[in-house]
Amino acid sequence: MTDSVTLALSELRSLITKAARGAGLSWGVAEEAGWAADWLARRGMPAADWAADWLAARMGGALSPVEVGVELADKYSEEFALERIALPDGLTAPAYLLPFLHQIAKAVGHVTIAARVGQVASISSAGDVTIGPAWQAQSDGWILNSVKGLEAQTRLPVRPLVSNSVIECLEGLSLRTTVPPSEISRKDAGAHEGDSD
Amino acid sequence: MSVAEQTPMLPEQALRDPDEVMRLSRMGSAHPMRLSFLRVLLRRVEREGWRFDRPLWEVDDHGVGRAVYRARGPERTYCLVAFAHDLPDEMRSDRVIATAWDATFALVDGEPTAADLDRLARNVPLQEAGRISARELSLSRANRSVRLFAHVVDRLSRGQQPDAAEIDAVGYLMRTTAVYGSGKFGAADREDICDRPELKAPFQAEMLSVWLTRAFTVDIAEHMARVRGGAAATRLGQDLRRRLGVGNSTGLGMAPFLVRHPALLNSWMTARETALARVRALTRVTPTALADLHNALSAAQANVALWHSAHPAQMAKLVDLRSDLARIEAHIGAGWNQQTPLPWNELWLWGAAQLSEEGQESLLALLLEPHGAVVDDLEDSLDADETTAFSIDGAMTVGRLKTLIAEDYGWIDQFDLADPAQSARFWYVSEEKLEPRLGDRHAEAGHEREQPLGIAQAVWALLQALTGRPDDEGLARFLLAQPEHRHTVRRIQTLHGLPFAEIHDNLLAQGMLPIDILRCKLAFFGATRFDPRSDRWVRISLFQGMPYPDEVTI
Repeated sequence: MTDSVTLALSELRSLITKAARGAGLSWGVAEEAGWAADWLARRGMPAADWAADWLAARMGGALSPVEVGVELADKYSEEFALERIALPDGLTAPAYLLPFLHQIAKAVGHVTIAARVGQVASISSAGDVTIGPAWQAQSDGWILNSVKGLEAQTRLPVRPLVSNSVIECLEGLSLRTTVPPSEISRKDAGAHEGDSD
Repeated sequence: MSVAEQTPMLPEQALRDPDEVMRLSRMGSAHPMRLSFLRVLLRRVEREGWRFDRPLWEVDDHGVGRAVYRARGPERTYCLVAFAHDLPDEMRSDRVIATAWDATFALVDGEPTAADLDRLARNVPLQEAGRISARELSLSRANRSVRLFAHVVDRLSRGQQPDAAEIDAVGYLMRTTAVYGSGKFGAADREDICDRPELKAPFQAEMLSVWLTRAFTVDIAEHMARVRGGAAATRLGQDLRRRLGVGNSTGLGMAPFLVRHPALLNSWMTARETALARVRALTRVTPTALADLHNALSAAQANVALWHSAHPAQMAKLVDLRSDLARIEAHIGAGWNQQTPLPWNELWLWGAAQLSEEGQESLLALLLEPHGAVVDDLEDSLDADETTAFSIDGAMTVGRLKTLIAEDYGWIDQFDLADPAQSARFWYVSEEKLEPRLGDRHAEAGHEREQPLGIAQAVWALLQALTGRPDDEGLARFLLAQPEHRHTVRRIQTLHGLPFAEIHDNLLAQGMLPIDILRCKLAFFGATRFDPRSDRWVRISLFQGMPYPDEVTI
């Protein structure tokens, strides 16, 4: 019995979407959580582990990086430049902001996150990520800016290796999108005659 | 007859109106046709001269073992790995709850190594409880038709051919109960393989898997006949073999697909409707085309003669279809009015005025059949890029969104969506089996966990929410306040300009028949003998009457 599973990217998308919906996000935002997980996994980042972290935080009442990300993308994806946009402090698994900042970078050219102590991360319009020395497990005084400058890079898909404990956690949340069995649901589900024709 | 002579001399006739095409009753009358996915596969393997063989057959006297079926195309090789099992009758079930099957399969990308075969042997027989890898393109299983399988083995073992009537009554030796692809259970993701020409059209890996499975179903029956009859046993005759397809048992699980993949549905429907429009624009009825039309009609009549169903809705449709095919035969037999500028259009308009929906959709399939030179290139447009549909245009105004709704979703106005009967159902996923089901909102618990498939209601609810908001307000602001509409807003934005993306019907209405959705999807697969066993699960046949891999190998 292995303690981790290699997921197809479509499995990861589906799992994170359902878990996010199970954690109380709207279907629309939950779908974007699944899309963001795919984006991160393609760059070799532990998207499932981070999702388990931010979903747990959100269940505890915290704001999630995906909700902040969709708000930013909605607001700024049509802009020409960003100037000193403050991000909320205390976001768990803030890397989930990056896919949404990529959406903005496609419009503005290059998005950077800086903190008082230095560079946090930058995302190019091509979706290339550079993590800076000021990166932390939670956002703290982070400021968004844009700079011009593009570079392109082809990325090969990476299949995420996810521990069974993280999958169990996410599947537990996913089950909140399902409906417990009832006599009616079983009766209506399909074949009841013999299948041996 | 050259392609140039067949090419339309007038602009394509306008496509049919989505308000007509995308109604459930008409989608539920769809017929397989030239652009159906299994036909696309068969044309390709014949055109490109694919070679097929069976490099491994290790099956014992109990019918247990493994086999490999190899398909070699011009650039790549694919192999179906089949595992044959000895399944007690009492364990045989087509339901997703089953845990054992008569045979299980995986389609491998390339040729499997010995290590691959051992890995697959540990996982494929478990189906949903196992794992496959990016080396595999599909995972599937099949159960025998016990009665026909026994009859065929018995006859062949005694050196006799099976009874044709017995074969026709069932139509398959085995039926698949699920064919998983596109990343399911660890299989290769669709986006990683869709740039291969042979896998660009939808479900080509799954169709190849089923086609090779069909060869296996005959091979395993002949094997068991040899075990029983020894030297006295014979092989299945070519004609009888052709009459066997692969059965398929399909339930509600397939229904949400068309709602969740609207851009893909638009591609399928647009290709088919464009094909019809091109044929309607042709100016001549050539002798060859006329002969092909007669042949296609004869084949359709032969098929419908063997097409049985005990479901009241389908029985009524079959009565209509038999009657309509006879009327079509009489009409084209009389030569119809071919001396008009657009004779095929004339025939189509006659059918649209005279035939039932079932007959009209059958006529559509018949009209495409003689015109491969005019329509087959549309198989290149059956796919859709679904990976770009995530960003929302937050700068779009509320007023613009209302305009899009008015342009694209006017069809929801035909329903009184405030009436509880219009939202009597809800789609959900069962906790027990993780399969889609349809519940009664007013009698069952769980509707708060509803899947977002009620598009008409969702758009209606969005319109209510937009009421009173200023037209110049940006959607970013609106969605921040009401994120529950995000799913619907994205759908409206991304599907604008895709006229055949939405089913123009209410999927939550009391009288909605899920089998209509299944029929449409299965017709695009190329399925025949659609046989509903209730309003939510069906049996069909695939590849019946079509060649086998060893018949197209040069």
